[in-house]
Amino acid sequence: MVTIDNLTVSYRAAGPPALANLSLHIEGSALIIGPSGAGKSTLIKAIAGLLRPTRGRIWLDGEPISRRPLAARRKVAYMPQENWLPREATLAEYLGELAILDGYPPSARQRAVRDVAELVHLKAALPMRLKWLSEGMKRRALLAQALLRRTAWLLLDEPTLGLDPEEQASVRSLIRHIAQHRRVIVATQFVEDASAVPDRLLILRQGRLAADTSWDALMAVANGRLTRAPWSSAVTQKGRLWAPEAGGKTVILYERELRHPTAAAEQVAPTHEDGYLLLMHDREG
Amino acid sequence: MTHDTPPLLTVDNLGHRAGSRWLIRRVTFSLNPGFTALIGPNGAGKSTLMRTLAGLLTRDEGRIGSPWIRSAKGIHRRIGYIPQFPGVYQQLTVRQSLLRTAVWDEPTEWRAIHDKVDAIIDRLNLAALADRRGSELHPSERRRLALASVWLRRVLVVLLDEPTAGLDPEERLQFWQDLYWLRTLPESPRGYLVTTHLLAEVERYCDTVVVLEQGRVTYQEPVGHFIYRAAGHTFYAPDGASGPGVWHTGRVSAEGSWVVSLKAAPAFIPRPPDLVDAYLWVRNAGAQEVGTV
Repeated sequence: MVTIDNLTVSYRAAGPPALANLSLHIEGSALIIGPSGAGKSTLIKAIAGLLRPTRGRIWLDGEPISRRPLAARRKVAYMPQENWLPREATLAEYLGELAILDGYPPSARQRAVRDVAELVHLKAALPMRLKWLSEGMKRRALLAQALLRRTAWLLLDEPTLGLDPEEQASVRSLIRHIAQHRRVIVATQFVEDASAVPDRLLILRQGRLAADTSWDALMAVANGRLTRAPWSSAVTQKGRLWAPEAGGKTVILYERELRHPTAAAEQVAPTHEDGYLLLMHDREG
Repeated sequence: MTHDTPPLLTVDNLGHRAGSRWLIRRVTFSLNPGFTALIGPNGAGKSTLMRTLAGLLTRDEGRIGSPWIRSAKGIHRRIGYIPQFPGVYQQLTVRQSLLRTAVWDEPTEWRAIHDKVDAIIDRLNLAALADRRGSELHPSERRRLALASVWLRRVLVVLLDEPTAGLDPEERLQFWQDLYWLRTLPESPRGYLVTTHLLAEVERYCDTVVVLEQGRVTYQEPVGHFIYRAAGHTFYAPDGASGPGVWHTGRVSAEGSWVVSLKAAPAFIPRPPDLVDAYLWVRNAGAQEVGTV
């Protein structure tokens, strides 16, 4: 279990902190989402023991990470947001060295590297130097190094960023599969990533917890609240949430309240992203 | 969606190569008014195609034409290109940048130029940014400035390379609102070609989809037609099926995993297709079909 108690992280003395008095328990897998600059990566790094909190405490499975950050290394594998990799090493060398550091016995190393490369569909890239991989392949190489570590927790920062639609689908399926036997915490900007970790959805905004919800509950927020209207109606209503629609003649209006099917307005089937947008809009008041 | 007007651009057998290697080749499609999504796997050549269309990379083969533009030489002047990370003049304010663009594009009376710039600042809600310097702009604000510049240049077509990559959901919505706003303005660009990996936004906001695979356009059709390609092959798999001919879409709901499958298994429950399904279908099973292009 991750226990976060009154956590504040400030990068600069002036200005608002990246995380502000955050308190939270995470038991199983969870997904952290929120606007740019909400503190998602900061929270992941704090749990991984990669930064020192300004105030507050973090325990990871009973270990006080905020006091002994190195203790986190044995418990978490971390996939950073940036594609930083040793450029000259091949993928096989890179994963092989990490397998040594993780204490795989020599007889099991090659097999472990092959298996993990296969999981992220990079088996054919094992002999390639990392500098020649595309950004999507680098992303998956970083996911592979995190999967290789045999830790209880996996912390993934933007695992699907820059991936094409097929890669997104396979990485989401993979995360979902892994979350059945390991605990995975994902930070992301993509609402759809939450389908891989559906039970717990933490929405951060400006360093605070804006909502503690789930994939299904997110959809429920939007059910019955989206209607279709002529384009001109969006123009007239300032401060109202709306989205354009293909064709340009109509817009989708996000209603403040549930609209009953009897209402004259035509209903639109929502997506989970609509649920997210509405929830954020509702919280703004 | 029907198009009564001729296409804005016709791209015929376009090719660009690096040395002896063709990065895109025999690319043929036409760009119609409205919003067209250019989708495809990483490395298919989407950015190369855009940069070749914009005239930034050499056209080693084929031609780009437009019934709306008389001189073949002038075509690149009527195509606006907004890269993933648009550049800005660090020291100029947003208003100064726009004035500069307007003057360069069409030297005319100073008063008229100011009026044009004021109009676009007003219509794209840039008033709050107007006096900020380029160096202070957030990437999404830079893109809004680029959209305003494109309007001032009176281009026919805008190419946007991954405009929503790295944006959060609210920023993405704001981007599409801006783009639709821009389109309603008089003398705005008529066609928009957008690359993206987010198929949900293509489904909601775009009229047409163009699929680029290994440097070639393999599909070009209205979004609804493309989605229909997966009809009859999309299911909920309650027990999370796997095996040859079954592709997972990465989604799941109470009914089961969302799969695309060649054949219906007994436990499968039919599900209406969406763009992710159709894309996975043509990428995996589509080899058996013949594309429309």
